[in-house]
Amino acid sequence: MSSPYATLPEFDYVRPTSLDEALKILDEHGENAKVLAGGVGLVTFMLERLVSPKIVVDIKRIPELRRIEYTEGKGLILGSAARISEITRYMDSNPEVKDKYKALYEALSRIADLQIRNRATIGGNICEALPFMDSYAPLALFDARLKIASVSREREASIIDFVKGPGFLDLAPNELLVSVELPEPPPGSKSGFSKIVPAIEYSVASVALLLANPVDPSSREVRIAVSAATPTPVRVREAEKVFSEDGDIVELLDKALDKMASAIKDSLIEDPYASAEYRLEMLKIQAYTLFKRLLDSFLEEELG
Amino acid sequence: MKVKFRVNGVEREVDVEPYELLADVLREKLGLKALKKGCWRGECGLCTILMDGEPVKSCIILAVEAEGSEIYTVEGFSDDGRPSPLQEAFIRNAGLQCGFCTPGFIVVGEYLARKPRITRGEVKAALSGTICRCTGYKQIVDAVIEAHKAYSGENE
Repeated sequence: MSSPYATLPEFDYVRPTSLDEALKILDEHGENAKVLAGGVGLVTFMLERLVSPKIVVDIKRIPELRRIEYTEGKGLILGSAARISEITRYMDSNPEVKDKYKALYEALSRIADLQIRNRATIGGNICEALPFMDSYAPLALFDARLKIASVSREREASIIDFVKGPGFLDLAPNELLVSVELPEPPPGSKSGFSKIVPAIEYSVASVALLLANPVDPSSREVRIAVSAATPTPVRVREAEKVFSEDGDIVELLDKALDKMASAIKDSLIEDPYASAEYRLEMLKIQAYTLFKRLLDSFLEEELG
Repeated sequence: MKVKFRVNGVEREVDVEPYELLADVLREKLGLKALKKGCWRGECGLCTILMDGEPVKSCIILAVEAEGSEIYTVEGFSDDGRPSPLQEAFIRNAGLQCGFCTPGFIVVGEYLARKPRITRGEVKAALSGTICRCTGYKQIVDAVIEAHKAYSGENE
């Protein structure tokens, strides 16, 4: 990864203090502007000369973009410039929020390392648009709504629609990701996140899974989201549907994992770090293990 | 652009270009040469500083982003040239060989050792963003645990 560049290319720097001001700057400069939040992506990309903006727009001092708020019944709102460590700390001090969005917590608290989590932001993680970004599977799992704004309009997108492919987002140069809203998960649900990180430091297969009312087929809900093994995040609805059937839950799980395999087998990434076959096997093993872990904790609660 | 911040307890104002990195400004303009750049890409952790109380990697932060912040580098922890309890613990435990990574480890270590409670596992996880290629990590973890006891007034 090393390049001969020790210094950054030249650019202008602006530090808007309101969302309106930031949107006006982006509208005026378009392709020449790049948004700076934590910088762990943008600054390294600039060092590698992958991007050379004329103007860097630092959005960290816009209070609206730093929001971290949970409201009962409405869910969790994260401003795009909220730092990863601020979000996990908020969840640590609000254990009921951590329990509701456990898969997100488990993903965020294992991003990179301590120093990076102190700078990196949720919006930066989303907008880096590489398949292994750790926020993707949990955001797909919780049906997160991404709020995007420009001077002329506001709109919403799911993470699945927003991430178009490696390096590509559904985001115009004059638009800004403002916040991420996670609605309330199903009452009493439990969730978790798991990833496989070989020596390259990035996950090659990530799974987020949610389970609610495991013993009652009429109200049971299972959600499965995968990322890192596929170019963009996927909600595996074909597998989720299996759990509305009657039958032994462990047998349903086997059937669901087969459905998951057939749903994504043609879109798996095959590269020198991990084969498609390995990635699929790791997705299945992790989904199985997560499911069993969540199921066991339901059973433990039931038995007291 | 003028940027104002406090470094090791002293108010500083520096003239910087918007594209200058904080690590370079601290080293070259403020003379804090204990701070090292190892990978230049936010990976090795040798350039770690405390910024508003949190460890961050200064080689991927623009100097202008530091406006108004409170910064500590390794120089800020010794007392008039006398090593801090953590630095003493590094010496006692042989937590260094070549020493190039030590400024990064001391900064993260001071942050960890001053927490109210830490476990060995937490120290190991928290040090994973800082890389040493000669000592190995056991002695470094030992030094942090030992300093934590000193800072929290606990005697073994």
